[in-house]
This record gives sequence, C-alpha cells and structure tokens, in this order.
Amino acid sequence: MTSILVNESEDPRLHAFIIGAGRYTYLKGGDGLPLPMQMGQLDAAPISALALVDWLIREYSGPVRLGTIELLLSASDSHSINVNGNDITVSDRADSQAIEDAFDRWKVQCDKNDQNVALFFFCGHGIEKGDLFLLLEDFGKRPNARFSGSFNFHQFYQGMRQCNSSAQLYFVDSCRSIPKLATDREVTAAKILIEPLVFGKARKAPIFYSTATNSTAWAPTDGQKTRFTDMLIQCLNGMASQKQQNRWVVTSGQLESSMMSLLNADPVQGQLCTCDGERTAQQTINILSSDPTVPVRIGANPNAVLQRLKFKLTSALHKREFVRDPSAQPWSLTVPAASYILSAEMSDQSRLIPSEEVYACPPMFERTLEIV
Amino acid sequence: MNISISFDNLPDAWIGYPVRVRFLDSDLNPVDNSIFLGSETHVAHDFTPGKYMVTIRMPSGEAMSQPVTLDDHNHIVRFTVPEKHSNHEWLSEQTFLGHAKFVKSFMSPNNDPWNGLFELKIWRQTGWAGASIKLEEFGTVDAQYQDGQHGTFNIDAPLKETLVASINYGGSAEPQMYICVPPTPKISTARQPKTVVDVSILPEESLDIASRLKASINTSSLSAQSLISYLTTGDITSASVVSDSLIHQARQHFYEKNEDVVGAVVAGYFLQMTSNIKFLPADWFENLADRLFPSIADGPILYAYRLMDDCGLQPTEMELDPIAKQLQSASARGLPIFSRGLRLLQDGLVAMRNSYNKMGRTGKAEGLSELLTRTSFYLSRCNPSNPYTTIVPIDPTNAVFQLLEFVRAKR
Repeated sequence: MTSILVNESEDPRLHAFIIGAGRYTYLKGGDGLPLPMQMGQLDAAPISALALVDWLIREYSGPVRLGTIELLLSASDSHSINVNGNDITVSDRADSQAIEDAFDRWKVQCDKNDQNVALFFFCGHGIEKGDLFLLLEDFGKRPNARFSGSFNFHQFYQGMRQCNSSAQLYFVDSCRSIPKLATDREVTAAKILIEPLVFGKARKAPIFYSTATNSTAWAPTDGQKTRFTDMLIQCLNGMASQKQQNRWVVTSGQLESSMMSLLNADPVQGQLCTCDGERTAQQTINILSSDPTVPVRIGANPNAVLQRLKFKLTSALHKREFVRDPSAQPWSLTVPAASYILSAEMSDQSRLIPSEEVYACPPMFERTLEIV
Repeated sequence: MNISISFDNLPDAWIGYPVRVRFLDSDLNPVDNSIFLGSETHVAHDFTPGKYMVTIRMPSGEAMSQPVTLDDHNHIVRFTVPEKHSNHEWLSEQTFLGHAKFVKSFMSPNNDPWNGLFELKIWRQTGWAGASIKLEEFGTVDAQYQDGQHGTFNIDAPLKETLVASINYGGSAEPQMYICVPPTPKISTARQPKTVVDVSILPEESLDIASRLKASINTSSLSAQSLISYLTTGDITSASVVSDSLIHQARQHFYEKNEDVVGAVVAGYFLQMTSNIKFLPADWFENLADRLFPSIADGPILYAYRLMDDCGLQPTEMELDPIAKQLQSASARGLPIFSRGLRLLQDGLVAMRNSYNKMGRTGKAEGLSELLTRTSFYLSRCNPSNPYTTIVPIDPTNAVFQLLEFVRAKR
C-alpha cells in the first residue's frame, strides 16, 4: 500500500491518485512473452509521476491544502518519497491488482467533503477505441482477455460523477492510438473502477490529454519526465497564472489555455495537447506566493539587424533592468511578470528606435521589432 | 469614457462574428469582454483611465495586441487584420463528415427545400487536374474551377438531405474514402446562399487515414461558429466569453420559434460541457428534441442530459424512464451532428443500463444494451477531435461500407 497521508482530516483537501506505469511485463523489453505490438517500456512514466508527487508535496499551494496521495508506480528501480523528513517507500505496482484498492482508498478521501479537489494523473501506455483504455503493468497477462490488464478511463471519468468532490482534475499522459490488437476486437474487457450511474451532480472536471485522439504521445528515453508533465508543472508554478484581486492564481481554464498554447505552438512529432470533460474556467488550482516568471523572446525584422541592436528592459515595479548586447540571435530571457519599458538602440546610432511599454504576462511574451 | 475597436482590412465575411477582447492594465489585471467584429465596435465596460494592452483573441487561436492610453476622452483602438489567412481558415478547422438526416427546418426560413446551386469546395494536396468526385445523387462531377489546390464543384440541384460522395485519389479506380455532405443549415438571406464544404486530403503517403480528409462547413449562426472554433482550439476562456451572446440568441430563438438548430444545439452542448445545463429550462430542451426538430439526434441527447441533471443520488424508475426514452429516440434518428453528441449518447446509455441493473430492472437494461453495441461501433470509428461527427474506417476495406449501408438505411 502506497498511501502518502499528509493530512486525513475532513476539512477541504486535495486528494491525488497518481499512476506511473513504466514497466510492462508483456510488452517489448519486459520479462514475459511479449505481445505482437510495437509498444515497449516507458522509463519516463514513473519519473513523471514522481515529479508531480514531488511538486504536490513541496510546492502546491491551492485554495485547499494537500490531503493524501495514492501512488502506484511500475518502475525498474525502487523509489521512496520524503514527506516531512520521513522516507516512504513506494510499494504498490501499477497493476490490475493494486489499482482497485488504491482507487477505493482515494474515493473514500475525496467523498469526505464536497469542497475537496480530486486530482487524477496517469502516465503510461493508452489505447483508444471509442473509449480510452489505460494500460497497467500486467497488460497482456491473460491471452484470452488481454485488456483485463487495463482500465476504462471514460467509464471511470463518468463514474466519478458520483464522487462528492465538486472539483475534479484529470491528467492523462498516454497514447490514444489504435493498434491492430484493438481493431481485432469489438469489445474489450477492461477493468471498471466505478460503474457510471445516472446521477445529476454538477462538477468542474476538466480532462487534460497529452495528445489528441488517434495520436501517439512520445516519451523521452534519457531519464527525463515527459514534455506534457514538464509543462504541466511549469504551468502550475506560474506559467498558467493570471492576476485576480492582486494575487497570481492558476485556474483550470487558464491552465487549459496555457498548456495548449505552449505545447501546441511547437508540437513534437505532431503530438497535440487537447482538453475535454465537464469544465468551467472558475476552479482555482494553485495560488502563487510571488510574481510568476515569464519567458520573453524579443527579436527584430530584419533578423540581421540584431547584430547591431542593444536591448534593455526596465521595470519600475521590480526596480530591475535587463540588458542584452548585440547578438545574432533573438533575445530570450525569463523575467518577473510586470509591465516593462523596452528600449532598443542601434550600436552605430544610425537609427532612433522609440521605446515602448510591453506587458510580460504569463504564459509568455514575444515581440518582434520592425526596424524600417 | 467610450472605447471602440476598429479593424482595418476586415474581410466582409468576418463581420458579425463575436470574438474575445482582453484589456490588461499596467498591473496586469485582465478584463475580458466580447465584441462583434465590425468596422467600429463599442466595448461595453467602464474603464478607469490608465495604460492598457488590448488583445483580440481570434477563434483560430491567433492574437492581435495594441497598447492604448485611456484618459477621459473617447478612444478608438485600431487593429489591422493580417492578410495571410483566407476567410474560412481563420475560424480553424471545422469538420463535418457524418450523417445528418434531412430536416425541413435545416433548409430555409419558410421551410421550403431550397432549390439552386450548392458549392462543394475541396482541397486536395495534388490539385484537381483530371480528378473528379462522385455524388450519389448526381453522378460524377468535375471540378468547375481550381484555385491552387482547391477544386470547386457546383451542383445545380436542391440539397435536400445528406449526400454521400466518394473520392478517388492516388490513381486508384476504387473509391478510397467516402464523405457525407450535410444538408445546408438554415440559409441566411443576407449571406450568399451557398453551402461551402472544404475537404482536405493530406499527402497520400500519410498512414494516418483519420487525418487524410478534413471538411469544414460554415453555419449561418455566427455566434455558434465562433464558439465551436474556440472550443476546437481549446480556448475555453474565450468560449465562455462569447457564449453569452449565443445562449441569449438560442433562448430567444426558441421562444420566438426561430429555427436556428445549429446555434441551439451548440448552445446546449456548451451548457452541458460547463455543467450549466440547468441554465435553460427543460421545456427548451423538449422543444429542441420533440417539437421543432424531430429528426436530429442531438436534440433528445441534450434533453436526456437535462433530465439527468434533475436526478438525485437515487433516481427512481419514474425518473429514469423518460431519460431512456430520449436516448432511444436519439439512437433511432441516426448519428448526431456533433461528435460530442455521440460521446454523450454512449455515456448516457452506459449510465442508464447500470442504473436499471442496480434497481433490478434487467429487462430494461438489456433493451439498452443492444443500442449500446451499435453506438459503440460508431464511437470506435469516430474522431472526436473534430467537432462534427466524423467517421473514419478502421479497416478501409470493410467498415466504411457497413457504415454507409447504415446511413442509407436510415434515410
């Protein structure tokens, strides 16, 4: 059992259910007889899951405090989590045996208060054929019921309408493509964690997918977390924040807009982040204790003029100045969110370029100066 | 003070679309508003004097920004629309590749089938020289004119119901893809009476058959079109900002018996998606499902979800039966116009089956299982990334033919 119990009280809390399925016994590179499929092992999945757990424990500062984390991890190595100075060894594997108990424990916590926030995160393999099936470590164990090592995400999502938490966040970092194995079968006997019933409770429950339907999600093999999870954590830390009543907050709507604009502006191998589910823009997820930082990129047209341009960004609010000497590349830097005066000066003083006020606001700021 | 926004270079076809405008003050506090694109549009907000960054967020996802200093006088903020996009592409891709049964109310304000030309505009990677399409009702049609990779097919006939068009490409004699051309939505007399369907075919070496064809349809409801586009690009904040006008219109349309079915359905789905379906009364959905548009599947699906919203933790059989009736009605009408409808139909049937089973009404549960099997078949071949129901064959030599037989049988 890997329950990380930060606080089990019945006050409103955030309760997380996090699954990192990286080792697959019956896929390429696993210990069992591999299925005839292209899919293999995913080292990035447990790394990504652990990164989110780490963020929740150390940096999360939402409208409700952290309650519990249910963690299932299938990784090559053993892992432990440090909570308040105590090391907790992650013992539960992300397999079809452990998932039911972990889900039940999570739901009990979520049901304790309707102001709770339920957070679900999965990183691993997925197959979508009508419904999305998320694959667990023992996927393929039973040759006559291969999908018994998976669970039906869509039915799980619908079933969670019965959960008492009015705010629910779902993050799915997996493929959504259809391999031949799935096209052979009309019906897939996947695990149902909770049966959907007719129940009329409204909820704020956005789903963030790392990729679109019929598409592949890519995972790094160099020990890094996935691009989706990396961006998720950056967004939660401020890249998806906006100012509300003098506080910088990350809301579900802003997270959606920012994740999609940041990930999809430069997609890797056609992987496009998409969002779905029952959602409003009103659920606050994280409240920042200081101004967020904003990636800034300042260029010039024509590009060649950059070699003669000196840039300066000045903030009266932060009493700071950022300077860049002439260079062949556009100026890329990270600054605290604020309005700035952008000045540009030709090194040979051949042209006068008027200063302008610019607003460096999350998720990013880009400006190309037209030098006539 | 009064603030207006004006657009230079605004194409005529864009006029009237609601878009989101954001004012960011120098402390980076945002104020969101919606405006209708036009030559000079007033912004309904009481601003305090100061410096602002004004950003127009287009439904395509593009943004245009201008700084402005507001004092006590009236102001006009001017934007120049870039010329790099065509009239329809800025709205982002909208795909219709599915089945909608003929309904009179789709056609014209006076319910007469609209007679005349309709235009099918298809984008093909390799152009249209020597290529043709075949429409079930009208035989083979050659492109009347080409504009780069776009071929335009004018068909001089009434568009009464969904047409099935086969497309040959790559030199094959056998059709490799079928599309269903929807009947035109309500024709607005102020606009050109044409249905424009854009179908894009990606390079033939693409293995991803789902992405080979892209179709877009322009509806006559500008608010609905903006909302669909924002939702397609995932901009829920902008969608929420512009949805007010659509929901207001939808409410008005129904009480005034104006028959803008696409706008009404989009408003219904948006409310369901944002857990605000109770915003519209149940009789509004009843009208949508049973009275005004008795032939489209989306109406009873939305009505079923409106009824579900009234259920508590332990719904009674008397509460469940009307919901089941609506889902059965939807299943009998063929595929819904919007892919979200197909997803909701499946989810609704699963929940109903489980709820009947839980109260021991296994006969009623089994009755829904049969519908569920059929819905699952289509859902597993549907591409939900496209807002309109898009069916792609998993096995192109088999599934697409089964599908089209179903479409024909339902007519």
